[in-house]
Formats: sequence, structure tokens, C-alpha cells
Amino acid sequence: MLNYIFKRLIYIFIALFFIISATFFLMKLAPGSPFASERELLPAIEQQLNAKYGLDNPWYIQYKDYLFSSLSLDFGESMKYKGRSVNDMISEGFPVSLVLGLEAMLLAIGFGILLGVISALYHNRFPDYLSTVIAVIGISVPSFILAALLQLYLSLKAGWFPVTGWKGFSYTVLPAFAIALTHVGFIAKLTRSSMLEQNNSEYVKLARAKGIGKWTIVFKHSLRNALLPVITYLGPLTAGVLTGSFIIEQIFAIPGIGRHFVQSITNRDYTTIMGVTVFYSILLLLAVLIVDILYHFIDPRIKLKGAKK
Amino acid sequence: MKKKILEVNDLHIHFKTYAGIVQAVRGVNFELYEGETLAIVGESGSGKSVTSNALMKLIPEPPGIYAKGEIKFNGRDLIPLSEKEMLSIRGNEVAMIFQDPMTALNPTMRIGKQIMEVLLKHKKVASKGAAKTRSIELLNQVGIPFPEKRFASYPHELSGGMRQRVVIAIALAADPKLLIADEPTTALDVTIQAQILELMKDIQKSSNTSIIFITHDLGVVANVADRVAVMYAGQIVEYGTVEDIFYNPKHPYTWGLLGSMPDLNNSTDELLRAIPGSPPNLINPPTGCAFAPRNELALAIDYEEEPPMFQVSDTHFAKTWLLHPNAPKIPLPEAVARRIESAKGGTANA
Amino acid sequence: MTLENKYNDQIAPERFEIVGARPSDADSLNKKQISFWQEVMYRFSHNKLAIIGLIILAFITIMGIFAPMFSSWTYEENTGLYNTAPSAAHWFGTDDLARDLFVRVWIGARISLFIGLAAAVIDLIIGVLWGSISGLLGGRVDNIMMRIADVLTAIPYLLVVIILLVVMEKGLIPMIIALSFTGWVNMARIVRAEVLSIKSREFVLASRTLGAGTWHLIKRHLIPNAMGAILVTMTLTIPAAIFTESFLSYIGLGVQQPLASWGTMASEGNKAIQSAPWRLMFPALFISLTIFAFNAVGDGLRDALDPKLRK
Repeated sequence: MLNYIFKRLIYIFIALFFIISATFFLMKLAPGSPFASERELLPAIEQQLNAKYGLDNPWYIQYKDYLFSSLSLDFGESMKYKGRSVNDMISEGFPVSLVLGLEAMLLAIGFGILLGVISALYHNRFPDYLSTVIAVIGISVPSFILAALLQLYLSLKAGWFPVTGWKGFSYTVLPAFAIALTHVGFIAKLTRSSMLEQNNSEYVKLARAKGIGKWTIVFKHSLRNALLPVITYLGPLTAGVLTGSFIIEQIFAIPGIGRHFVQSITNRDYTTIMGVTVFYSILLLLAVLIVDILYHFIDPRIKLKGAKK
Repeated sequence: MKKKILEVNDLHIHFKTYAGIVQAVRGVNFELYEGETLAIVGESGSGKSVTSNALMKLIPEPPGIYAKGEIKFNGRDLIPLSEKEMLSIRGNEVAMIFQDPMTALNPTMRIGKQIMEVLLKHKKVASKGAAKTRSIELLNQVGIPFPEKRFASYPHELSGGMRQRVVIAIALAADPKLLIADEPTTALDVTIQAQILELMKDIQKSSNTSIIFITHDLGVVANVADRVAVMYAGQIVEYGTVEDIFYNPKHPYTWGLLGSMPDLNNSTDELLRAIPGSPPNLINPPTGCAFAPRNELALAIDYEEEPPMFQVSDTHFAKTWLLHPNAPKIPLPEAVARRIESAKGGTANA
Repeated sequence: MTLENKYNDQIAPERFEIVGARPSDADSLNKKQISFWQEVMYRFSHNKLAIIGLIILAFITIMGIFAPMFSSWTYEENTGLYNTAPSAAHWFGTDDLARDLFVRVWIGARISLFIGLAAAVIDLIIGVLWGSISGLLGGRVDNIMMRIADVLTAIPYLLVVIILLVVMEKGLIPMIIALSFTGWVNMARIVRAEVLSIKSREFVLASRTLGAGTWHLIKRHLIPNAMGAILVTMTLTIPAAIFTESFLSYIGLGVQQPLASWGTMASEGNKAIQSAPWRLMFPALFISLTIFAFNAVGDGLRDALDPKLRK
């Protein structure tokens, strides 16, 4: 087990190396200097700025510098907001985004599984149709459109929730919901078909032949087997929630990393873009590793190193 | 006088499908006494599995429908019973052994727990600790080595034969009066098959359980059965003791089954005879005898009217017009006669 | 026991003549002989959601092609009416530059669908080539090719797309390149899986012993068998591309003005959501309908092709 984790960490390291390098070179290729959006700069000042950010060094020196600073998790200073270090921006925004993200994930998993189980148990009857409709809406309507609609109708018009900001629990409801609904849809679909498959399996028949009641079978037998495919969705879920946060944080004016990221894109603030990208990548690679380990604990048939028996 | 455990009267089971109503079981009658084994033989689609599932009311309704008939277990008709009432009977007084041990066990639950579940549900033990002890005893009884260790194993850690033993242990846990074994050895190697059959015979001897054994393999039937019911197209076409069926078969389908068994005693240049054709569509069952289109010896009346059950002896019945007094006297087909001869000569004790 | 030994002994003796078997009845061709694709079509056509999706797609495609042709305005024309709500003259209203939204929505359809299809086609080409070469060659080559694919997908898709667009500057072509840059990996994995499963099947061995060359195998066996999975993957790539494109428009990386995809129209409409909600509603509606429709058709295809359901 520890062996496995160790190996995976090495892979993560290699992947990160590629990501950091790729990000670096891509940013270098990007047209225009980050200072081009400012008012006309006197050449002398521009030269000074370039020197300050090391932009006048040959590329390999810049690359080396960047690699080292990334390894020590120092992402430098923002190009747009002078004096603000990227690390600061990340550490300010991360707790906010983390809360939002976890809330969205819990919503997605909780509702998704609930809807999926209901759908499967009342197969082809009204609860199934209702759950399916909700799932379809979730999958088809992009989260940001949903966010705009929720904001318009539930906040501005009905006044049930605050419109923007991040000052308490009620501020988190709409944004988390907007991010979660798409994933509720996917998880519900996945759970539903997985449960239906379990219902037709031999071991469920045997459980019935033992005289075990319908609901006991669901909770003690089918569910655990049915949730295995859902666990594999946790990886994409994390990625989806993370990227979902970009626009949602903008729409609801939430001071998370997502919003900073989007702004840095608009501003062509390269250091911030690179720093946040690397940070996100680390998060996601770790999340995938955690999911894999989790899967091993839940499905006794999976040996982590090799194939299924 | 042996006690009658099971009595099935005129059982009809239908399935609603997109294509129409499938009449899977069309008027089945049989009985089972304490301590004896009834084998139900037939090819795929004969209705044998549906019948066995129906005995425990395991047919999903919809699309299944118990259209007609009675299933009397210990004198009590099961068909009108509610699902809740059935829950206390299943696994408890009637238990089932499934065909495929690879899929019959829950892959994410330890086998010990799967046995304990039966004991606890039907309150056969006082506590969880007692359940564990009893489960280990059962594992031992079915011949699993190191039962204390195996208690905590997952199904995929055991071989096919071992898994089937676990399935049997689960079925036996609550001391059922009736055991329904649905092709329990079909998915296993021949050598393992022999072991499992021995195990089942031992169990029957020690606890006097009645067994219904579903199979398509006549060799197995000869080995375990006291009485045999031959099913075709949803009906029982011949019914009798194992000697009646093997030494004095009367229905052409039974002849076909016996004739198609490979016979080691005979000359090797005899062709293996299969019964040509396939069973009829049960959405529109034929009006006459269902086997007629595949029967070289079919009579004109076979295509017009379904034969009734004719009685051959106290124990032996067959559903064929050939037993009508006006029917021609047809001798046993040669292949069948030869097998009967070699069986009678070869086996000193059946 | 209700087995009675009752029978009617007044039956005419002729009825007891031996007439024998009737093989034509016995080999009941209950199962009509239909080909694989016919069965797929049959199953698909009975999937209500999939048919609805197909109808929606047909509608949108037809409108996308023909509506702008018959419209009284072009998509960038100033009609003099600023920010008007839907009316008889302007079915979908007008925007802040007085452009008719109805015609803009259908031009947007062309662009969004084009982007989706283009991305899917590029995914197809690169994915099929990569996957089949990797699967067929096997061994170290396969290993290396799949490792590369793994690294490419280590970075979340959206991040890759965003970074590429930041580098390349916005535009239609850059958008398509960015979308398919790592998108093909999914297709490659699926194709490779099909190749591997077919490679080890007996009929391939049988074919080879009959002297079939690799190209022949690819043509007659690989492609028909993998076709189903490929088709499903393509159908499901398009709505993902449309979603991603509209997502990017919201963060300012969308297609350039005045050319407008649904995504750019929606993000602009979002800014005026209180004063002119129709500017968001219509493009949003069609984005959602299109995503739904493609997903429904894709799911329908996947279910129709599922070999486990073959009767």
C-alpha cells in the first residue's frame, strides 16, 4: 500500500514537471507583454519592469528560475497588482473556494445518489420520471446560465437569498447549488443505471431467496456494489467543481481563487495564471490519488497494483 | 406414511412482454414427500426454472402473473400470501441453491456475514456471537477447510466449487424443510460436480430435507433423484419414479432425451442423436401436443388436440396419445432400448 | 393430486395414424432474421428521449441553415430598435446594438454547431489513428503512446483549453484547436480498447489463418465493431464542446465580435439580465436544448448498441 502511494507520488511529480514546463513555455509564447495593457510606458520604465521580473534574461535562465521557485511553491508576484504576491492571492482565495467547492460536492453526491436510488427503486413510475427530468435539466443547462437564472429569480426578484458576496451561510447556497446541479445529474444517472444493474444480479436474487426484505437488500447489498462506479466519478467531479467555480464566483462576486484566475486571464497576468494553474494541478492530481485509494478500500476485489481478479 | 411437503396443482404462470403474453408454465402438477428428491428435467425454455422460482414466489410481478393454480407447502397455499408473509418462509422453511456460484454471492460482503444474515433474519440464534459460531459450523458441514479463517473471506478469494458450498451453507442455515436446487452443478467442473452431489445427498440423509433438483443432465438425475418430472414447453410430459423414467419411459420426448445421452458402453460408430428443431413459441402455444413438430412418431391427433395425462402405474404418468387404447403399439426406439439394457446390466445397485 | 386418468375413448381410429414430424414448424424462426444494424435502428427508434433529441437537432439544423436566408435582416444590421423585447417584428427581440436576435440566434447555431462538429471530427481523426496504432502495435510503442495520453489528460481539460486560448488569442480556429488539443485522448482510449478486444478474439485468429492481412482486418472487422463506440463518443463530444465554448465566452475567451456564437450572446445577455432578459434567455435556451438533444441521441445510440441487450 505505501509502496503504491509512493509510486503514485512519483508520477504526480513527473506530471507536475510537465505541467509547469508546459505552462511556462506557453506563457512565453503568448503575444504581447503583460504590461501592454497599461498606458503607454516610458521605455526606461518598461526596461526596469522587465528587469524586475527577470523578463530580460535568456529563456533557459527564466525557466530554471521558474522551476526552482515553483518547487518551493513560490509563485512570484502578480504582474498586474504590483506588490501582491501570487501566493498571497492563492492563500486568501483558497479557503473561500474550498468551502464553496466542498459544499457543492456534498450537494452533488448527496442529491445525486438520492435521486438515482429513488429512480431505480421506482423504476418507470412517477418518481423515476421526476428524478430523470431533474437530472436531464442538470446535465443540459450550463452551470453559469443556471446561476444567472437563480440570481435573477431567487435573489433579485424574490429576495430569498442575497445577490452577491460572501458573508454567511445564506451566501453560499445559490452558488453551491449552481455548481452542483450538473453533477447531480451525472451522478443520478450513474447511480440509477448501476442500481438497476444490481437489481438484476444473481446475488440480489439469492438475498431475496433468503427472505431478506426489499429495503434491507437495497441498503445492505445493492447500494455498496452500485456505488462503485459512482466513486470513479469523484475524480471528474472534483475537476468539474473546481472549474465550475470560475464563472460562478464571478457571477456571485465571491472572493475565491476562481475569480482571481478569471481576472488574471482577462488581464494577461501571466505569473498569476501560471501560479494558479500549477496550484490547481496539484490539487487535482492529489484528488485523483485519494479517489483511487478510496476505491481500493471499498471494493475488495481491486488490488491497487494490478488488474482485477 | 411419509409426510407430503409440497403439492403443486394446475400451476399456470404467464409473463407480460412487449411481444405478447408468454405462457411459461401451462398446467403443472406434482407432489413431493419428506426426505425425497424430485428431479425436474428439461431443455432451456421448458419452464423448469420458472417453476422452481415460482415455488418461492420469486417471480417478479410484473411482468410475471400467477395465472392459475395452487402451490401448497405443508398444506398451505403460498400463492395468495403477501410478500411480507413470504419473507418469513423464504430462506427459512424453503431455501434455494443457485446455478452460478460466481455471481450468486455478494462480491463486497464477506461470506461469513452472508451466512449470518440468514440466521439473524429468521432468529435462529440468540446473538451475533452465536450466529458466527453456527456459521462456522455450517462452513465445516459443507466441507470447507479452515472454516474459521474462511469466515472472513470474500467470495472472489474462493474457487467455484468452494463458492457453491458456501451457497449451500447459506441455504441450509435455517434448517429448511425444502431445498430447491436450480442447476447447482451446471457451472462446475465434472469432478467438483460429483463432490457437490455427494454433499447434497449426505445432507439429505442427515436432516431428512426434501430436495427439488432442476437440471438438464440425465446423468445427474440418475444419480440423485427418487422421482422425476420431465418438462417440455411449460408442461410436465412424463412423471414417475427414477426407475419408471429410465427403465420404462413412455413419452417420445423422454425417449429423445435418453437417446441423446452419450453412452460409453456402446459401439463408437453410433452417431450422437440430438432432437432436431427447437421448442415452440410460448406466446401462441400450439393447440395440440407441443412436441409433435419434432416427433417422428407424431400421430394425426397430436396436431389437433393436446393429450391428457395417461396413467401407466401408481407412480407413473405420461402425457402422450400413444398411451390411448386406440393408438398403435410402438416399440421403444433402438437407441433407448440399448441404453436401458446396458443400464440394467451395468448397474447392480442404482 | 389432480392427475386423473380420464380420457375419451370414443376417438376415431384414423386420428391415430402416424404422421411424423414437421421440421418447418419445429425450427420455429420465431426470431426473424435481421441484421445487426437493423436491430440497432429498431431499438433506437423505440427510445423516446433519443427520438425527441433527434427531432430537436433536425429542427435546429434546418433553422440554422435556412432561417438566416429568409430573414429580413442580417446578423449585424442595425435595425434602429435598441433592446426591444420580443415582438411580431423581432421574434426574439433586439440587443444593445439594435441587431435582430432571431437571426443572430440562428447564425449562432451555425457557429456553435460548426465548432462542435469540427472539434469532434478532429478528435475522431487523431483519436482513431492514435488508438488503433497504439492498440495494433502493442508492446513498448503502445506503452509510450498511452503514457503520453495519460500525461496530456493529467491537466484538467478546461485549464488546457484556457491556457491555449490565452496563448493563441481568441478566434474561431484557435477555439477549435484548443478544444481538440487534448480532447482526442478519450476517443483514442476507446478505439484502443476496441482494437485490443478484437485483436484477441478468435475470429481474428481464424481470419489470419485464412491469410488475411492487417489492412483487411482493419477494414472488415475492426471498423464495423468499433464503429458503434466511435459514433457514440463523437455524439457525446459535441455537447461538451458547445458547453466548453459557451463557458469560455463567459470568461472572455470566446469567438470575436461581430461573429457571435451562442456562448458570446449568452455572456453579453447576462450583463443585461435585469433590463433585457430575453438577450440571455434565447441563446441559453438553445444551448441547453442542443446539449440535451445530443446527449439524448448519444445515450440512445449507446443503449441501442449495447450487446448485452441483444435478444
